[in-house]
Amino acid sequence: MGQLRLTILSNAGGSGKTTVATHLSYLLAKAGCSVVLMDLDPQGSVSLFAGLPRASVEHTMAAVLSSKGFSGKWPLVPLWPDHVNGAYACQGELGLVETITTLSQHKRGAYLLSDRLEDHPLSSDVIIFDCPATLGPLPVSALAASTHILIPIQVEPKSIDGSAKLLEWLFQTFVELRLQPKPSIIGFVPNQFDRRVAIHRNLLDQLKPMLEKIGMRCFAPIRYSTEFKNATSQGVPLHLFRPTNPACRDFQPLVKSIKEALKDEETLWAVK
Amino acid sequence: MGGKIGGNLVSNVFQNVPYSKELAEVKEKVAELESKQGALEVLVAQIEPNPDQPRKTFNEESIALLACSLEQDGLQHPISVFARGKGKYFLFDGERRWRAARLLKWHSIQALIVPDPKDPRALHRKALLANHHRENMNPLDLAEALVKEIASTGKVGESEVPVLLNTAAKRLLRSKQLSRLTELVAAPCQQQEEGLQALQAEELLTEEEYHVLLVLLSLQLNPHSVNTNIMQSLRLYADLKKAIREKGLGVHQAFALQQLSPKNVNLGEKEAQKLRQRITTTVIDQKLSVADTRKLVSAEKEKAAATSSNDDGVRSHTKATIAKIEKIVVSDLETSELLALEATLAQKLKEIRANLREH
Repeated sequence: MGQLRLTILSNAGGSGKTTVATHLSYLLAKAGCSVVLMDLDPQGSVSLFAGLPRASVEHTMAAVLSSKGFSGKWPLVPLWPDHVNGAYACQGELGLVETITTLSQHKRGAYLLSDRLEDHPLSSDVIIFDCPATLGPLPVSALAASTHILIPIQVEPKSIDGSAKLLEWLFQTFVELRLQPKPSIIGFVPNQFDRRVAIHRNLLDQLKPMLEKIGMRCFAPIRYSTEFKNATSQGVPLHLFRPTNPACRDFQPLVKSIKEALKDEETLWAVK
Repeated sequence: MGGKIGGNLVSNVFQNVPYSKELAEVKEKVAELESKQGALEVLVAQIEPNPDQPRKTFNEESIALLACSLEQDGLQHPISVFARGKGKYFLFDGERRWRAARLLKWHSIQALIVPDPKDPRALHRKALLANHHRENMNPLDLAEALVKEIASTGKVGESEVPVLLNTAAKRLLRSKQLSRLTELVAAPCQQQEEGLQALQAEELLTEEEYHVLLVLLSLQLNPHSVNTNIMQSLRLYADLKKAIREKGLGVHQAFALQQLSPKNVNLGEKEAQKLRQRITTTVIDQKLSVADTRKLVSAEKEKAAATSSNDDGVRSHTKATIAKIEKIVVSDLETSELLALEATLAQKLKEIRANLREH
């Protein structure tokens, strides 16, 4: 068994990346895996979703990717320690805006995050990279360090359009980065799905076969619920805020799929 | 406006996606092929022989001739190597050319880099095929390589292979089912398995024989022919095998020389070996044909038979006893054994002398 490194990517804001990232972190930890959630978004929304106080720059991913070098001391902060063991976060921050420049100028640019992980390995079973909703240096550096990719989308025109372009960009980036082996795309996970809304239903119906055609999995959608926002405002996952909410179950296929990927024979990135 | 809301949106926006996926896959394939194509100049000093080289026979004269050819006309065919570690290459195919290059003191040689077949089984099999495809691997090397290849399946031991093959071949020959085996040689893999399984079901083959035959068939070899012509070479005397590998003795000549056994030449093991080596050297130096070699061997056998009749009817039974006594290595014996032997021999000698006086 190796270390699974999952990049959560999308090409449109508000498609539910951070929601999926934080909920997966909680659920995987609950299932007994150790997880580190790395926030690569200058917006730093993981901190909000996890109820973490805003971190100073030296204690964020910006410090890890600093051009001045990295001491190896990962800025780990426990996630929901009263409820779960083994879940940690490395927070993001505005400092990551500076990181974008660093990545563009550094000789190892796209591979910097991967290098850091190789030089200073973490022993967790899973690392999740929450990325900003752009196709730039930060997601690229996450890709170069990943074994798997998950793409959350909203079942709405803009998000779907964005995801198509994301795929095109991904295929191109794989070739350019010469990643061996390539990260494997776990699939698409539709978010905020409201079956009362006609266009949601229609788009979902079209999406599944289209993704199948290109050999990609479309997970069962995570339904819309206002309680997600409430939970966020409290800095906890829905499962801690309102465990009886049916939307809680919607994450199960994802968790199952990731656990299976973990068990896979192929050790892609063995932790030394 | 008719039609469902959100109509063809997905197919519209995803139009380019399948294409870009395929394009990326093609680009990768091209990059992969490009990196592997074309021969490089590899430093001769960085090349090491294949540890699992099935071809063990390297005739000095032949290498020298090859070196001449290389010098005159250049290397016609790049050798194949695989890289393992930095600046270290192992020969996959081309040891003769590499040896010739070293003779000529070449600094570098044209080589194709082949993917490292990390699994030693795969390496052996591929190297075996690479040589076998060229049809000039001598039967001795081929026999040893085949035994190794069959044993590496883990289903039979190396020493069992020739026996299993022989038993199976003879059984099929007796029951007139040999043609069923021969038909399978050029058949596809699936058919070969099915054909052998059928024979096994009819109790014409044991499970171990099945595994032996399957490997041979998978290499497009006729098992009966392998048994008759190839496996026999494993039984050759070590000195003859050495002569094949290093001095260029022909295999058929070797079979003839095999006849020079202690029994046939009426000599002890060491003397028989000395005689064999002497005759072998003659055969090699004079480049005798198979027929002439056989003549030479027959002559030696007749000579031996003649001298034995000079012994005035020393029957083979007695000869055997004498040979046994000659074979005793006195220095290997314990004191107690020496004493016992001395006592017996002393007693026997007394009886012999007594008997001789009576004659």
